Amino acid sequence: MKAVLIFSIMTLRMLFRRRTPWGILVGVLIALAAIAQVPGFSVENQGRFVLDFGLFGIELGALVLALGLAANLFPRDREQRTVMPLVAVPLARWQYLLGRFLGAAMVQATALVVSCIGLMVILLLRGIPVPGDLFPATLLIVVEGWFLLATVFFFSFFTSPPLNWPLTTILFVLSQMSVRDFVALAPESPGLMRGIRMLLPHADVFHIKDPLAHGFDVSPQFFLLAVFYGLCYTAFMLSLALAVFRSRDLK
Amino acid sequence: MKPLLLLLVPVLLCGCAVNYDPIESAPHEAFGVECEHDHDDDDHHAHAPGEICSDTWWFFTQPWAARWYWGKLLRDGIVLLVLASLVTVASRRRGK
Repeated sequence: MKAVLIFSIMTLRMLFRRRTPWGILVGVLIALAAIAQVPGFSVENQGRFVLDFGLFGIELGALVLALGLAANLFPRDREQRTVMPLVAVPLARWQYLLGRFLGAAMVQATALVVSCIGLMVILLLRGIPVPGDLFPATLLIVVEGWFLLATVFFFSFFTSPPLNWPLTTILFVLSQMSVRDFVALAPESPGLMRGIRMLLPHADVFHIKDPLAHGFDVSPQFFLLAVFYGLCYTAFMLSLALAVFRSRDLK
Repeated sequence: MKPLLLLLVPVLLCGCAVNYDPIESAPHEAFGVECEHDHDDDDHHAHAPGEICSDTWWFFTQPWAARWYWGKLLRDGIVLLVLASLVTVASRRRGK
């Protein structure tokens, strides 16, 4: 595991040197600042909208970060021929994948926590009370982001980055849908649609912005279960990515 | 990829279980009672906090509120962990 940790820190430093994560983070913060500029028009409970849209913005940031950080990692390593000497001697393929994943996951989590602090500052500046569950809600988005990151890694081993973006985005959108909404996309073949929906993850598990915005408490038991579910799905996607990576001829 | 496809079958089985959707598996009480008032455009009204009725059931059938659904999260998590282990071992053997 020492090799994985060292490689993940190398990945972390490499990603922080790139402009991509900084650009995305600045983009998310500008979007949050724009949400804060929406006039209240003296509407009752206007804070709900700021909180709801703010958390939605952070969730979109998680998707863009996953794609911006990871879609290009393996293709670039392959193009620059750095992956071959790495997996030939110092690292096994699983160590390469895990090191890259952990480095990108740390950068993504840091950017999302900074976005959460940005949202908190906006709420305080507008005189809106900050809900106690704001950090747990962000942590669930971080876990969703890690799942998306693992998905991006999975696609990156057999598709090009321009194809990775739409594939991951489609998965992101579809996995938010309830079974009923998903079947409604093609009502003439409900059996097929239900079968496809069964294979997709249930990303609505990671959303607690509605109860937060309406002042409802979320059970710690649910929070732990959602984190567990997200981490298990991430591990499953990483295992699929590793299986594809192991079958790849890198020459 | 053939063994991988075979390993995906348990994921299907996992999802095929009766309670894989929080709305479809919700008990009758989760939908509350039918609202008995008109919904004209100009007729804005508020529900009491926590009141479950035909207007608010969508809120209380989300995963965070659907206690009947939480067992599925635990079960799926365990199945996915087992699957991840199987896929990792299978791809390692295949690599050798």
